[in-house]
Amino acid sequence: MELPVKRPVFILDVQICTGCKTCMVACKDKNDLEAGIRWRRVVEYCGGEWLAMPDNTFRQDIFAYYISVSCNHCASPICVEVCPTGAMNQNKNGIVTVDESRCMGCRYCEWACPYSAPQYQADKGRMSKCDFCCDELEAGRPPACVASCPTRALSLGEFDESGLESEGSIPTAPLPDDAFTAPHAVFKPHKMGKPVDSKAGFIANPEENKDV
Amino acid sequence: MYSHWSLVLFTLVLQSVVGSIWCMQAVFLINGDRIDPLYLKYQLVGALGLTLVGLVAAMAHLGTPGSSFNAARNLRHSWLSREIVAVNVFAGILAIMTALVFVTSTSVNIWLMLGASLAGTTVVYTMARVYLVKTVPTWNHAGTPVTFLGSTLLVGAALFTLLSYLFVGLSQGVDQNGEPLAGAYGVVFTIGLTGLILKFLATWYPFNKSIAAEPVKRLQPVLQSIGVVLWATAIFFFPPGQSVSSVLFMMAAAFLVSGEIIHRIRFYNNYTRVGL
Repeated sequence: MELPVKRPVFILDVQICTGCKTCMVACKDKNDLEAGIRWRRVVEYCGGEWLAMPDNTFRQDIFAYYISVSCNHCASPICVEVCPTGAMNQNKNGIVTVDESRCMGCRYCEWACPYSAPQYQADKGRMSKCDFCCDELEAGRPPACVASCPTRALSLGEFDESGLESEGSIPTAPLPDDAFTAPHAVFKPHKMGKPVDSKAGFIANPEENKDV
Repeated sequence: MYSHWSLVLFTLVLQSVVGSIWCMQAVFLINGDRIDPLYLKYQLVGALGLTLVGLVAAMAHLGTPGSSFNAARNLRHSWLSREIVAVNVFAGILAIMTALVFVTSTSVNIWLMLGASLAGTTVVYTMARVYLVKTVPTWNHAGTPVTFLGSTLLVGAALFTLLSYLFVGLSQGVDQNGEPLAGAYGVVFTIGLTGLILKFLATWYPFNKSIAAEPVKRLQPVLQSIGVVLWATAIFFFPPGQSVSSVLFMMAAAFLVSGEIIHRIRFYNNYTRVGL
């Protein structure tokens, strides 16, 4: 497979993202995903509090921002490492896909992936995941999620050999530390963005990210 | 986490079978060819039968069992792939041992016995490594392999003794002259007690703080401690073969196994992954 973009990378400007979830819906529509399967998820992370001050005023440090995340097609994909059948594989373009003919549905990749990228399809008994809309890329078009983003917060880039930091990517809560899997995704932080280990906030929409 | 009953059954059964093989190895080392082949037949049939039950449970966990033949394709990187191969090698050696004992009616081949012990060790090691995933901090610590080893020793020794009681009517087995095997039940009990101590270490030691706060955690060590006390009473204070000894050991086995099931369910319920 020859792609116009040799090593595609999702770029998300968290400052711009409004959390509209158009990307999530576009992905579900394009891939005919059944209810409960979310190849792309929009996470609302918020926190802070109001404090009463002695002079009868209030001080607040409320924050909230949205992070749209799918598979990050990591440089060290833990799903590929742990998969016993080799169904999880990474091609020369860095795109991680699942070979459904090999997958036996053990869900070990689901245990391991810190981004909840592999999703189990109960009707097929196999795992599924974002494949970067390879067919769209081959045709010279962006992935469905990127094409649909109304604010252009989500865009498509190419991996820079000098490192993702050059794109302004800073790991942000509630995402995990990049050291686990070296994700190939750029997250330009929100001005109120919290560091990865922060306990300052919480995920306000867990039911929109996985069946609870 | 989704339902994990099949994994509870698979891991417990395989670990108990490996432990019983280790006990058989110990008894074999002490008594050599003196062991009555009939005694070994019952032990091996029980071990092989339970291994097959464990394999069925493992298949029940899969979404597409028909693709399980692909499971050995990532031996280079995946500990799950290595575990699957190890379990199948272990089952294969057990099957060969069982067949030979029935066909030849002689004692077990010493090299096959050693092979089964080593294969069993590999099973427990790879099984522990499957759960040492860097993104799952509640499993990724020394407590996991220690508790797996403890379970193997404790429940394996209990299984070995249980099979003796059920099929031979004695807690310790006999040699070809009908004489009790030397030190069999004492050595096996010591192995089981060592397993209990390891499980205490894994549960209470600081490196396992992740599950230290749960009050139900106390149920497993209490149940298994009662089980070990009953076991000791059965074999040290009553002559083997007496119904009192049998009843006491059956009660001990019930306490040990129920404690193990509770602990293993808690282990899977303790799954927490970093990130989203």
